[in-house]
Amino acid sequence: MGAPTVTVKNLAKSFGRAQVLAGLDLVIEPSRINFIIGQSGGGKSVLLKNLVGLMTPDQGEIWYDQEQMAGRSLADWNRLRLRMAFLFQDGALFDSLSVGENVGFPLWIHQRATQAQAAQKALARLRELDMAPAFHHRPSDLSAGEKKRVALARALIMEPEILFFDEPTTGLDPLLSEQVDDLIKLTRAQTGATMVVVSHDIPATLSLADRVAMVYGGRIILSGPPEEFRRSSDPVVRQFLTGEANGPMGFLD
Amino acid sequence: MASLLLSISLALVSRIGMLVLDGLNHLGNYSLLVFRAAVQAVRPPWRLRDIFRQMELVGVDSTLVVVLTGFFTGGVFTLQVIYGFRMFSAETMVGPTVALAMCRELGPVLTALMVTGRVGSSMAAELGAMRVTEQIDALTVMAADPVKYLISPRLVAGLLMLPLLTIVSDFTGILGGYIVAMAKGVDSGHFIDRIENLVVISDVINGLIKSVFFGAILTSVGCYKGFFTRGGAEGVGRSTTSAVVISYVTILVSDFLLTAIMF
Ligand SMILES: Nc1ncnc2c1ncn2[C@@H]1O[C@H](COP(=O)(O)OP(=O)(O)OP(=O)(O)O)[C@@H](O)[C@H]1O
Ligand SMILES: [Mg+2]
Repeated sequence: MGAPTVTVKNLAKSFGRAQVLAGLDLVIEPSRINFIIGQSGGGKSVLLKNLVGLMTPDQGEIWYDQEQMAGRSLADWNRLRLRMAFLFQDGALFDSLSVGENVGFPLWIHQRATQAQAAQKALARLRELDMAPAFHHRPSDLSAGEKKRVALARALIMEPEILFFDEPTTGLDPLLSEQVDDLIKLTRAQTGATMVVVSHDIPATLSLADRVAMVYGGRIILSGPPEEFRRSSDPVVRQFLTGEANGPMGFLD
Repeated sequence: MASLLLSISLALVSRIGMLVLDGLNHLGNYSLLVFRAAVQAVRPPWRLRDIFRQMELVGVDSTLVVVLTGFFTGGVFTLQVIYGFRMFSAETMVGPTVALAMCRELGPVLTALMVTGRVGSSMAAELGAMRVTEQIDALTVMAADPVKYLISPRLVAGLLMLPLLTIVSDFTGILGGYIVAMAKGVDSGHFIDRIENLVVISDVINGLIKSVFFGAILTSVGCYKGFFTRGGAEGVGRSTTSAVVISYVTILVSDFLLTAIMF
């Protein structure tokens, strides 16, 4: 099957009277690092949740290659989910399991491995990310950066063809941010998976991304390679890149 | 004046209507969740390890508290009964009275209330924390059904362990009663003989049937409240409190209904 292309058409989602996504179109390119940027509260997390089936859109289509997924059954989603992984902002590691059990969990529940085999593979993954010594620790004993690495190990263990990251570096110090950015780059290089990254980090976006899409007003206002963003004269894009308080983009409007 | 009354009553009616709709909505979601958990509980693969872990949390870890409440409730109940029965020399009936009360009512109900406080609340808190830290979403995107992994084992553990704990409570309650009765000079032979004569096995069984219902109520309400928690750490606190309150009320109401049906 290989790394999928994701095509979003006219996606809309409202909560009560607040329309968060208003007919959004987006193409996520296969085996590329696709960044999604936009202001806080702009609907980036809502977009990701729709893409992985955690939310159902009010309207619109979500194509994984030739397959339309919006509104499909749980069984259909679960088939697709075997090919994807999602990195939550705080890792979403299971508190009741050890680090090693967390990482081996997907293998074990999908019965691709016995518990011992799962543990062995988990250890190998953790070793790649320098987290092997934490194998028997509880997630609650880890620092934010360590949690992130364990979560990445868990995300990679099923060898996904598409990875979603919700703000992978928010809340990390610059050194750790850089480590996570390197991990994203390395993972793409090693696996050829499609990467979808939601981020606030403009320098990282511009240096790491193959493609950038900016969400504003519930739509994508600009999408293309990072150079296109640097060159853009759109006042909203300019304001976001320079981080100025004054401009067309209000403060949390 | 009339129009004011009309608008007040309209506002009242719409408010009540909204509460009813809200309640029905909750009831619908709750029923659906319990149904899914029940289906997933019988469908393989069975998560035996999770079930045993929950049985330990619900059952083994609650034993001490159940023993203590059973023992002292049986004891104090006997004190009061002796006081009353002495007035018309019915002391020989103390044993069966205590035993019937423990087996039919006090054992099942007190056990359920204690376990709700210990376990129902912690289920709501644990699942609530998992919801707000996105652990439940993480299970979903791993194509692992969170109902199967989180709720089914807790429900099964509740169904299996509450009757066992109730037996413990019945027994320690009668034991507490016996010790108090001896201390108060009631004849030991009478106490036990009369229990053997007057308490039938169906008294015990019906109490245990009740306890199965209570086990289902306290685990399912705790899981429901936790599973649908919103609003961060504060929301977890709210879920925990309302899980306990709703379970208490539901257990007492259903105790009344079950008693009316069974005895
Ligand atoms: N389940 C929900 N129910 C109601 N409103 C929601 C829900 N999820 C998100 N929203 C609302 O949708 C809007 C967009 O939220 P979202 O989390 O997608 O923003 P974001 O772009 O990810 O912001 P940030 O960069 O701060 O994470 C917000 O106003 C939020 O309050
Ligand atoms: Mg977000």
